[in-house]
Amino acid sequence: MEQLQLPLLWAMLCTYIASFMLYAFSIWAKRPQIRAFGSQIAWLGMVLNGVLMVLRALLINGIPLNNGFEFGMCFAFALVLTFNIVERKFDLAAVGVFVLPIAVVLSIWLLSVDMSIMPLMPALRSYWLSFHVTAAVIAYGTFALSFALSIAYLIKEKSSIKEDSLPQLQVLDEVSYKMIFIGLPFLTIMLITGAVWAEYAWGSFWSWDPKETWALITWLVYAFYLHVRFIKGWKGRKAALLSIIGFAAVIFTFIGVSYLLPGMHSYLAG
Amino acid sequence: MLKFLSSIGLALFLIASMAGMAVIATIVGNDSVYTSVPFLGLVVAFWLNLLLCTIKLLPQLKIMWRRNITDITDTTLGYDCYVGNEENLAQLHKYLQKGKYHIEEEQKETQTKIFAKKNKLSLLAPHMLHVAILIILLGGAVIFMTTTSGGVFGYVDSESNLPMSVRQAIGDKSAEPIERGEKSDDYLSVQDFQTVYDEKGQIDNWVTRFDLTIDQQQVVTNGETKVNAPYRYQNMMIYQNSYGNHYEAIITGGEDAGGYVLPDGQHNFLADGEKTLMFKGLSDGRVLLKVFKVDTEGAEEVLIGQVVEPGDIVAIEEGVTIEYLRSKPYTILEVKVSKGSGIVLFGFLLACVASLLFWLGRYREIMVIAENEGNIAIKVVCKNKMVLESIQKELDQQLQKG
Repeated sequence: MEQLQLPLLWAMLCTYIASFMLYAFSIWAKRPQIRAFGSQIAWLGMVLNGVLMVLRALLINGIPLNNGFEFGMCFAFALVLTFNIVERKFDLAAVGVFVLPIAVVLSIWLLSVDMSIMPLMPALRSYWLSFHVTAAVIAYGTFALSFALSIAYLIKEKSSIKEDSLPQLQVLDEVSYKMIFIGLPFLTIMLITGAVWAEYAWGSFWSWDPKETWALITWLVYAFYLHVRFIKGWKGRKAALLSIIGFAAVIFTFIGVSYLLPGMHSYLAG
Repeated sequence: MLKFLSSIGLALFLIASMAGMAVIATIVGNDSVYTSVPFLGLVVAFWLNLLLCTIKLLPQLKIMWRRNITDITDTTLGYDCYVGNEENLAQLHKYLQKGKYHIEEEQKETQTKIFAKKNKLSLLAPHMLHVAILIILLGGAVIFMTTTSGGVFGYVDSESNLPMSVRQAIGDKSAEPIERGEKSDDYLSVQDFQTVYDEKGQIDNWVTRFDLTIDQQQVVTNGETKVNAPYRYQNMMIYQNSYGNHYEAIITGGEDAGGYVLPDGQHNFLADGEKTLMFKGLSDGRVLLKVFKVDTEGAEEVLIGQVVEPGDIVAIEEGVTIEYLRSKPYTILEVKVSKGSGIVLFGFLLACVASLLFWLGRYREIMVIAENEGNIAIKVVCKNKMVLESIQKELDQQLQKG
């Protein structure tokens, strides 16, 4: 069964690429009806992603959230699932052209990491792992979607893309904010569950390990976002730029720290 | 001054500064930044700012929390008008009931007033989160000031003193530095140490069983600590930190004659300076004895490589033998004494509850003034523009516009 992972990953990647191309073509050719097809392919990609997660869960006999490969797989799933739900609710199909590339990049990255099944070290054999990493997956998924919406906002605002190609600026801005509003409490829970677990495992709630410090930095960026939005009225362009900075912090926390700033979370790189 | 200290501008500056300093500290890899005066100063300033800000916002919260039907004024300025008929009013009631609004209604001779609100608890979320952060930081400060920890090395069936700083922290005022090998009043007796394997034969955990004696009184009998499940005794936490094996052996004959306890996998030079001795634990539990010849450039040649059992005697050179006696498993426990963990955990709990309250949805109010022989005036209040517009759209769809 282990050999099935790679073909499934390739299938997932190809589906995400196909979906992206359909979304892009619908904008380029000004044929919104193609978006529905792009959306169906995105659902198919998500199903393949889900099958890969189930396969992995069967292989490891547990929840597949134990290393970088498993986290990345769930991250891509959370992103596309959130997009598929939000896209229906707010009629944001055209934004798929900005969302799917993130799923594609994540899938390509997954192809580059070690997907072999390694025994879990005793410190990771804890129920806290499921809560901590699940919260991270959901938070990252929503932040990634907020990032895509922010990019769409900036492009729509700047470029000559016709009004009907992308959703209205206000909708892009509001949904991007909503995603952060949903994601930040999950990030808070991720930090809290991580801290409580660290107290049990390592004897300290907080160790200023690069990974946890960057998770805190990410939290501070999004807390800053919400405060300037509520109180200073930052919307539109400024909010979009902050959302992009926040997602840069997410990506650095997820991938950058694992490779560049080794610490207690370095096992995630594998 | 108070206005500045409680300002959101200051809060944003402090958040940005803390984030900026943390970014620099991780990139240059300097952990001392987090205990430096500038960083701690920022944290203290942030705590004060958050405290003042939270206090400042309380009256506003109180007003919002207590809002009810008496807050509906008689003027309908800013209200949307719908046709005033029984059907529309019934439809409105249906809409509010379906939306699970909390409804207050007041009927007068000439008009009916309705005050409907939803997700009132979500009003508490930001305030609760702020209070939680204040508590967490306070608890963190208490932990920072009171934590004492140290490692305890112990062989199975032996006694090991608690570190002096820990002995002092648990109130043993007589705690003084002691000589190596001397027993203090506070010590751990390691009863057992085991590596636990799962059904696939992979390491699941390391478990140490111990007795704890404080001030010559045994306070814990057969306590157990393992990874992810430390043992707690009052303010003291005992963590499973590390483990390993030493090997006891006797060398007979030659300059090296005597008893030894040798670490796992390390070269130990013999007196001739040319040979080294090594015990290595194998993954299947057996023990390998190796003797190497090492030249001046450090190149190694294996002279002996033999799996040994307790009692085995191996000749390592002419007239010199080594008798392997037994392996001596040891455990290293981390003993920590601190106050403030409870405060932090309470703060975490509060922050989790606040996070859940955020997801209840935005607080919204619908105020209605229905004239007996006139229009139905409706005003929707919600801080989120999208929610506000969505409610207005739903009302427009369900009621006839006036």
